[in-house]
Amino acid sequence: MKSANPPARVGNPGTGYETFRAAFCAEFRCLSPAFQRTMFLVLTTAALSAPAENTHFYVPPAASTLIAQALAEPAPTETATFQSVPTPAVRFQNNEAQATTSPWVDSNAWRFQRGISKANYAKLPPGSASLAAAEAFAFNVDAILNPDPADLEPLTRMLQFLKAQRRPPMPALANIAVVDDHSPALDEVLNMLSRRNLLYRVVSAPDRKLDLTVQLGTKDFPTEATANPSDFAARVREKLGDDKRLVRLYGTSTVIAHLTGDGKRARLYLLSYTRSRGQQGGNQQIGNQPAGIRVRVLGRYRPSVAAYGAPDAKLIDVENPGNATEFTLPAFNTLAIIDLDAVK
Amino acid sequence: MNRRAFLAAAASVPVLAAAETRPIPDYRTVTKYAPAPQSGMPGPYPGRVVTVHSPNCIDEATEKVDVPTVQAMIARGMTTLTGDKDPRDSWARFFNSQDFVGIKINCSGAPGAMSMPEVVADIVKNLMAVGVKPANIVIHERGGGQILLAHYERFVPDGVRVESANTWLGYDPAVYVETNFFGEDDTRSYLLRMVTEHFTKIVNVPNMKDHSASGVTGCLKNIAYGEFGNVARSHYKAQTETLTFIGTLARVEPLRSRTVLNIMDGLRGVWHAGPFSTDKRYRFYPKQMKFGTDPVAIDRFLIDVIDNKRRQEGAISVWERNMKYFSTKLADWQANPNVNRFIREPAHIEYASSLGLGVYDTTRIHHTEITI
Repeated sequence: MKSANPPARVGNPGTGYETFRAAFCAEFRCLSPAFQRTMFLVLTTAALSAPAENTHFYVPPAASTLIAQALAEPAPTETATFQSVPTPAVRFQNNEAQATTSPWVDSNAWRFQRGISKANYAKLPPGSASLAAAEAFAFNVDAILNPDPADLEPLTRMLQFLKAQRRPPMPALANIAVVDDHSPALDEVLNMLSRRNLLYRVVSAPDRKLDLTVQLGTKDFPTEATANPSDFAARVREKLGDDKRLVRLYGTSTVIAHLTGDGKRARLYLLSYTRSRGQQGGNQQIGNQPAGIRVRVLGRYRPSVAAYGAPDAKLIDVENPGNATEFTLPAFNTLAIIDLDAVK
Repeated sequence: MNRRAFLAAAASVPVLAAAETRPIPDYRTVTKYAPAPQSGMPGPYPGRVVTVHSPNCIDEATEKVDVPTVQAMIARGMTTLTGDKDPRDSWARFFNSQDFVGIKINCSGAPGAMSMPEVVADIVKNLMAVGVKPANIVIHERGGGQILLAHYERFVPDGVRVESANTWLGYDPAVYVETNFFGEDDTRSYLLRMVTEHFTKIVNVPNMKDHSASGVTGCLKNIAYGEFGNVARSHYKAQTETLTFIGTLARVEPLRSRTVLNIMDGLRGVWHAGPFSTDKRYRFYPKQMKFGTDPVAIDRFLIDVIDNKRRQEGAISVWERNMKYFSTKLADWQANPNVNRFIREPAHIEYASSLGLGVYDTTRIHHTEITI
């Protein structure tokens, strides 16, 4: 894991807990006390896992043009510290008596959440390198990328985009603490939580500061329930309640969200796993522009977007209903990054 | 989840004699629009249906529509509905030169099954006759694919537009129904923005079709599932939520107030494997049109049209819920009209009645049938 920042550095570097708390309360005094408390707990807990620096990309000699452009570094000869991860992708498979098909997203989000901080995408098939880079960047994971030669050009564009989006990393925000019992059963549970955009943090012991703690073997979450990870995720969602969820997405079933923040601002990464990587929000369109997906983030923010493949993308229909921020994200390809400045 | 109980069974339906208690999903409707003083549905003629039959309206062999006959059917249907002598007076009761009119057609199954272009063309002609500008008439559908197959643009004057959510305005994020049916994460169904921001009135032009999930698809389903997005999620499993979702969507403002006229195109229909079937075996020719402002009353008779045809063909009723007829295999249902793909919910029409959208009880419906 990357080194963790102490909580005091969140929001107000170099000062103590009380100072941070006072600063936080001043920043969010427009919010209800209950919501202030929730966000404060989320952020202070998140600070424990705050990463120190941005993702490093490494490529083999065949992709040396990326090194020449300072978009990547030479892959190390010793890769033992990097863990092999599968290629991110999407598959479609029919369910019974369905009106629609249910996409099966192969994402490494849960692996990164569970602790992989150095990933080795050892052999990326054509069309997958950009998504692999975006996925690693969103979760601030160092990655060895071994792209297909045909992907060099799009990967170059993606890495240029990512380079332009570098900011000091912020801690991940979550609703749910998942206690890691190191059992294989937890793998697919975490995967389903990621797939359903139920934002969680993997912890070693119960963390009551978050909205919900998931610990296998407890009354609410019996181990045998993991036999059906989809149902398990539904159970977690029901226990949490949709109203508390930090992020909701409407108009897509193939986007995975990752939210980071420090109390003053937040950053939302939206990763599109569709086959084309294009995200058009169920073929919706506004004028000549596909309408994209509707996003709801808990908290009042002023959002702005940087979307790969859509340099002129602008958020539309931005609203602040209650203690939330909603906006429509136009079409994007592979990755959209929403920067959220807290509104007083 | 806090759910109320709904008695799904209709007492008049023998197959449902054993009352089945079903939960109603928690629906949260978000809209900034208030009802218009004169509600569009059920409108000024609740419990009133005019059916105009004509054996000459379509040639079954060629499927060629006889335009003069269709024009006469529409004129007669409208004047009978309103009691006027001149069809223009009838149309003028609903539309004027200030209106921006959406014509909600149905192209699920086009070109084999669709709101006939000749019917739509005559509606356009009548709207223009009362002063509606061609540029203020939009023939539309939610999805952008099948509407192109009908080629409505070839039948209407220049200026009249053919649009879908894909091509114009998308969806309105401020008007939606939120509910969680089966654990889906996308829990919102948004209304088309052209409905909220442009249309002052809507003419609803469904056709006559069987529907694997809702039993039949007529006025209510065309206006509900056709103007909102993310609706297929209601029929994902054998037991669907079409029973309550259709009426719930149809009731949302401003859709309800602006849907002022229903003209059901029954020249050609689909009696099995609807709504998308392209199988000619399941096509039939009711050779009729229904007129009214009350979608429930019209749809109530649609059930009979579809069910009678199915009976005639030896197929199970749209009310049949016995799981012995159920198959998860799409091919089984497509090949055999005695197979259900979902538990059908034709009672969605009666449910819509309970929401105030119209009259379901046939003893309270004034039904005029005319043959020309």
